[in-house]
Amino acid sequence: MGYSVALMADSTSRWAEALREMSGRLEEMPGEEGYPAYLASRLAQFYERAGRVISLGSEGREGALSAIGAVSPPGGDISEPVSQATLRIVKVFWALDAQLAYSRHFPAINWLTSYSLYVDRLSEWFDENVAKNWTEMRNEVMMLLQEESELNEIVQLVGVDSLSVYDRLKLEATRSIREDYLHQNAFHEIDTYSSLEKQHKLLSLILRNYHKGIEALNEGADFKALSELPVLERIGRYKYTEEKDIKEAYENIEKQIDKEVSALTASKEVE
Amino acid sequence: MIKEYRTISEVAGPLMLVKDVENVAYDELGVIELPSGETRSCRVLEINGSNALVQLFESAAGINLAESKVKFLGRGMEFAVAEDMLGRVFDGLGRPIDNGPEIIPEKRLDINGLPMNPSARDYPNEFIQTGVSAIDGLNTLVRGQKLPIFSGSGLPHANLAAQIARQSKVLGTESKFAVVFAAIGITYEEADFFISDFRRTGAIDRTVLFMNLADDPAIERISTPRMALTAAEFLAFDKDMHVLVILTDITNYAEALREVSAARKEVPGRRGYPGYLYTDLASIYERAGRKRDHDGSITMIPILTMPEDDKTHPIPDLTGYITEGQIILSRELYRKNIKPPIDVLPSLSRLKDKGIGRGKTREDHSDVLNQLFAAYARGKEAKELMAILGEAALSDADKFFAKFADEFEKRYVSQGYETNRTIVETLEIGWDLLTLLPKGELKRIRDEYLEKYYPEKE
Repeated sequence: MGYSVALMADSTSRWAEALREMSGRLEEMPGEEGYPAYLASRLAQFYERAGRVISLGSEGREGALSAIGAVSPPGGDISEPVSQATLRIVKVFWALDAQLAYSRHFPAINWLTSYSLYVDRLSEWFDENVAKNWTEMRNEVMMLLQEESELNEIVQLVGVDSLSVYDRLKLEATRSIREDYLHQNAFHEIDTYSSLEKQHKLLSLILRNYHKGIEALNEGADFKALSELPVLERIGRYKYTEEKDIKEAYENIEKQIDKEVSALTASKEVE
Repeated sequence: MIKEYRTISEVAGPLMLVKDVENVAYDELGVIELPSGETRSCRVLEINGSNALVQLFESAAGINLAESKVKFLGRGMEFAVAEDMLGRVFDGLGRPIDNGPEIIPEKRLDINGLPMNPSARDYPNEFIQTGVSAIDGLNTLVRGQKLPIFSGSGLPHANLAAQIARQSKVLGTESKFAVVFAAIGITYEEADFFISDFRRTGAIDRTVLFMNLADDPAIERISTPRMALTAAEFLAFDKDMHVLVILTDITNYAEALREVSAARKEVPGRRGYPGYLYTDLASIYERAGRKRDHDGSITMIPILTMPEDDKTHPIPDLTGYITEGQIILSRELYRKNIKPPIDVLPSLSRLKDKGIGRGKTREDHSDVLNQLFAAYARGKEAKELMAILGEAALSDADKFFAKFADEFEKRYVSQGYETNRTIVETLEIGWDLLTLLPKGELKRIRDEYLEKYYPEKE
């Protein structure tokens, strides 16, 4: 019919359990963990029905089926057959993380273990349709988050004081990425949906603040002062800006970042 | 014509095989008559050709293969319901044990009930004030919800459940909850604790009690919750009452299920529990809720003690997938004398969002809730770091959060089992605790609420 359809299956694990029960009653030879031996191929047959088509007929209607399956592994452990078989088939994995959920960071998608194999194919589209530097920005953010996780291991062992001011600034930036960009309140009228343009602007502000901060540290600015600038709260509240105001708010905050950060080095020079 | 069979060929554990039967159906109830005249009950699990495999509800001792007789009653397990049930005490199979007369039934209902038509369900959204801040403020209970308490052996889940049963009310109404309490394999003392508490508050007159105690036959446990829910469904949807159902302890129920499953030589799932444990638990839990065009409701609080305090054990794991959240008790908090020892971070109420806010509790409820969680989570992380490296290793902001976490546990969560706080009191305590943090950190609260509700320091 030429529609774009989103299919959500919650939860494929229960389907697999029902398969297992029927298979047991039919006295078929069980595979791993009692699931039937054909579990993986059945799952593949389901997911392979997703795709993009041109429908028959002269109008050339384009239809698409996107399948989003939930997997609920027992005890949250993804080393079990349903999770592993699903991961071998699908190209996008959103790993929900209990620790994030407990600290009420929603959506609780673990940014390090999740992945999409469509990133490369789509980067051209993003760079053309959203912003020229989208892919470059995405790569920088992912790298910062990865580095944050490594730095946190050190912090757990020897405390945050043992880090250089540059590393501490990096941790402040990643905190902002997590709390201001990644975290979203689905029950907030504005925050529930963040347009691509808004996302780009928000990340730009966070990264601009970070880059300016590095420059300031190079000129001897005080780290503590950098971490307490008033503009940080404004960046934190940018996500609550209505769509119609995002451009103006962005330009204002951009100016405020430049002003407040350079004020820290200006005073140094005066001394 | 009801036939009587003398063709019992085998008895093994809770199972019995009767050969050469006719017109017998799955789940049908049977009555076994021993040579002494004593009767035992059973139900059909499987029919294979003309052989019926039945599950005994009581012990098999004394059943003489040659001389005992079985007759099938042409119906499943039923419970006689009437409004007179209120104030009465029944055993796990629905027989009165309070020296009172049999119930004169308004109806006889099959205890398995019928699944509610999904489109007839009404979305639960009426706030229940339990008077416990850790629940009302952070993991709000609404009418029609199923919200279990995940506990461990020795933790005070009975005190918390009794407190909830005692204090729960829906704001703006005077109507009280009718309580259906099912004791599934718990000790006499624990059951008595609840009964005494109900007596103390006069709630006993609005309570129906089903008692299968620890020394009662384990097989009865499979029917007990279903009996209780049949009674609850009648009171809620036929008599328009608001019913609070407390089931304790689901772990004992699952063990009984495992016993029967093993005796039937079914292929086990995780930890030896049957593969259909999820579906079976769902057939109990899903009997909570509200129905469209009906005033009554069933709010369910199942209690389960997690073996080894392990949340990934099949029983709590599967229960968590079915119920609308959970209240988790923590041994660590219990040792610190936090009463009730509710661990708010892994606890959750999935229906809270529709039950809070303007017109229900207060407009700032949602933002304060989010902020308290975020602050407590960060505070706990800071405290862990502090435990390893000392306070000096924390950043200034983290020091505030660590202090916050401690005060939060002592003042917000730990309120005692006799304190009944209104939702406004709960919100005010939350705001007071948030003043311990730098105001700029309160990013989850919108500006207008900060202006309106942030307490001014004298």
